[in-house]
Amino acid sequence: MSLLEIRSLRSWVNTPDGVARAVDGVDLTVESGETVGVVGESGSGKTLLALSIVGLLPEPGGHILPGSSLRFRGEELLGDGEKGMRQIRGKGMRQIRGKGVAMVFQEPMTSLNPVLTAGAQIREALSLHRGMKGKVAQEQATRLLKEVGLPDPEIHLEAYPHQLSGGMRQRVMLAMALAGDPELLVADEPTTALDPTIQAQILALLEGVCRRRGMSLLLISHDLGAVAGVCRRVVVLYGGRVMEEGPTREVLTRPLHPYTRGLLRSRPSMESRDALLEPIPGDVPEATAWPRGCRFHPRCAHAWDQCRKGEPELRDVEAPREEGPPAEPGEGEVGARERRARRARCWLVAEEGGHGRE
Amino acid sequence: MAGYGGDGVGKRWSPGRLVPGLRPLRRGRWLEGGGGLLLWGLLLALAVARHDRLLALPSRGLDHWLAALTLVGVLVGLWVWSFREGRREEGERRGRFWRRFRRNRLAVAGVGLIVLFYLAALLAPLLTPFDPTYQPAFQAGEMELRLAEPSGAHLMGTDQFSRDILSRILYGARISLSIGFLAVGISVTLGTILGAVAGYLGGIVDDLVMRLVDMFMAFPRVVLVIAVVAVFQPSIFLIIGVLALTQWPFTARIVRGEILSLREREFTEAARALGFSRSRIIFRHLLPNVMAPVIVVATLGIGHTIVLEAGLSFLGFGVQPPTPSWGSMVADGRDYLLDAWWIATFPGLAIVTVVLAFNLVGDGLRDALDPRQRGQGGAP
Repeated sequence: MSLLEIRSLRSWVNTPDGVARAVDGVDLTVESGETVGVVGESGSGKTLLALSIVGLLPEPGGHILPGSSLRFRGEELLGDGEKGMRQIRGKGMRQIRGKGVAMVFQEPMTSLNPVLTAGAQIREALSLHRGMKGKVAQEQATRLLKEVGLPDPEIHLEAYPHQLSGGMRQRVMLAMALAGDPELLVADEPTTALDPTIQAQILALLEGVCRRRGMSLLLISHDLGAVAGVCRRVVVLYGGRVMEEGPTREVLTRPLHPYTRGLLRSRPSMESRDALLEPIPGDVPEATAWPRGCRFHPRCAHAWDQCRKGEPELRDVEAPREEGPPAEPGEGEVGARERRARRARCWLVAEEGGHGRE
Repeated sequence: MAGYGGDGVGKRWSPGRLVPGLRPLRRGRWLEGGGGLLLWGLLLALAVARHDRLLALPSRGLDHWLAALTLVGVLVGLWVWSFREGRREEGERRGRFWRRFRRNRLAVAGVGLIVLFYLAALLAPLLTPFDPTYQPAFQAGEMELRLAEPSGAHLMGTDQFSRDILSRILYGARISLSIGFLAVGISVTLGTILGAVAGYLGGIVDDLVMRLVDMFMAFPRVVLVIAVVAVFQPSIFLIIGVLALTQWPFTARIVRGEILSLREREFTEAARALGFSRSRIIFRHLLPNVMAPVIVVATLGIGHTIVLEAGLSFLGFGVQPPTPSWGSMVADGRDYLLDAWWIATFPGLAIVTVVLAFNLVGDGLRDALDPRQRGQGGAP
């Protein structure tokens, strides 16, 4: 049983310009203790995917379509609502939020309550999830701040958010998220608003915390470098769909999908400092009107007739894997296969002899 | 590294918390600490030394009991609050606020006036030897004391029933201030809760509450209050209740607006993502963020309520005689305005002064709390 199992998830948002099909049939699995990265440009549906998991789609207008499935520890989180499917409500969901799944947001500047001290906010989370009060909560909050690497935790507990720097605030956010001892941490671009040196620190911190706690991580980012350093597996999202997925090292060294290749080529690298960066031509299309056929074809250099006519399946690819990761102890056969699975949604891959899934 | 002015939650009861003023004194702020200590000490000493006089309330005392209890309650509330504030007093935010507030001299003068009136009301029995309802002309046959001019014995003179005006103003201050505090306390609490819930939940709850607010605001407040008081037996409880029930929509509307914008902020979403319940988010996370406008509305509301109560009493719908009330005193003096100007003038001045003081403080608070005014001069 996987920790988080998303099957054909479709989260659409009604906007004045029509229905934005932001997440449009995503399959994603996160095993217990696994770190998974989700990458894609702005507008590819990353954030809405994260919000769907914690049941915080924008209201009004956000809705999940019938046929979607979202299982946490095998328990289905979606039920029938008046407008399509919806997240289960009330106590059940609140039990999962914070205790099962916790989320860290992009903007540490605005994700903390400006009128409560850092300590008060962490203690709130502790009292809610662990029933801790007074001295016990205070000590646990101090421990948490120590765990997230904030110096002088006793002093910083009394600080208001505006007295802390961006990196410190993100650490406080993380401490709040850890207060409920979650099994899965969803981090939505946790480093985007920080400067590069702090980014590296926060990423290393996330990685370390997950490893020590055995916590799963779903790291959402547009920064392939960030994902490469932290995640074992990566999922490339475009047009609300998974374009490619696989072990991080393989995806980054041998990208199968032209979109992934484009992403890689458009970022600076240390090895080839003379090479010009090649941006992917064009923009992400509006989520209200995805192109027919392959959603990437208008921007793809390799597109041909087939790409315009029909959309390719997400196919399993048998890739030579001389240095594949060894099986984890205690890992089931299904889990191991899932962890090594290599898939891509492209006609090129299909032509080259991938085989269809299901 | 310097701290943020907190002592943690571990130490709950320390002398610095129990004795007001001790904490700033220890930190070397002599004026603030010494002043606080002196003020509270004097009050306490007076209360103990003259408890017999302080407890001797005028006859027909229900109104006076309520008023005295309210004033003492405010005092206790301030004391408790001063511990809370002591813990965080060095918060940068609060420091900036006080600096801005102090720049506004009129507002500071307003605070001084309010404190003066409050202390005079609280210590009324010590400041005047007369019972506000005592009529020497009729109870002791001293007929020459009717409409007596201001003199050494009666600093503000006496009225047509030979009652001492100063005493009546002091005891009337108890009534006026306590009605202001109670009515505004109730209305602000009610308005804040309803406004916050309506704003956060939205939908039908919001519609219901806000249409109710519209209804109240569409109706002339004075007419509504007079109608209610005219139907029922006027009493101090009825007055407070009616004033509170017609005041809450103003608070509710402001709080709702603030909550509407706060609930779209990321920290609210973060709180929801961490599994906090609605009520916890509303009352623990969002309400502290709307305290600034609520404090302003409450301060201005007290002045407003005092005027309204005086107006009601003037018309005879307010607090009933013989309980002294500034409004009814002005009404009494109206007939003698040419012969005995002091009867109506002094209570009138009291009304004007107190209301002006509350308005000045309210404006000062608004200027000091409003982030848009940051950097500009705060004076009106």
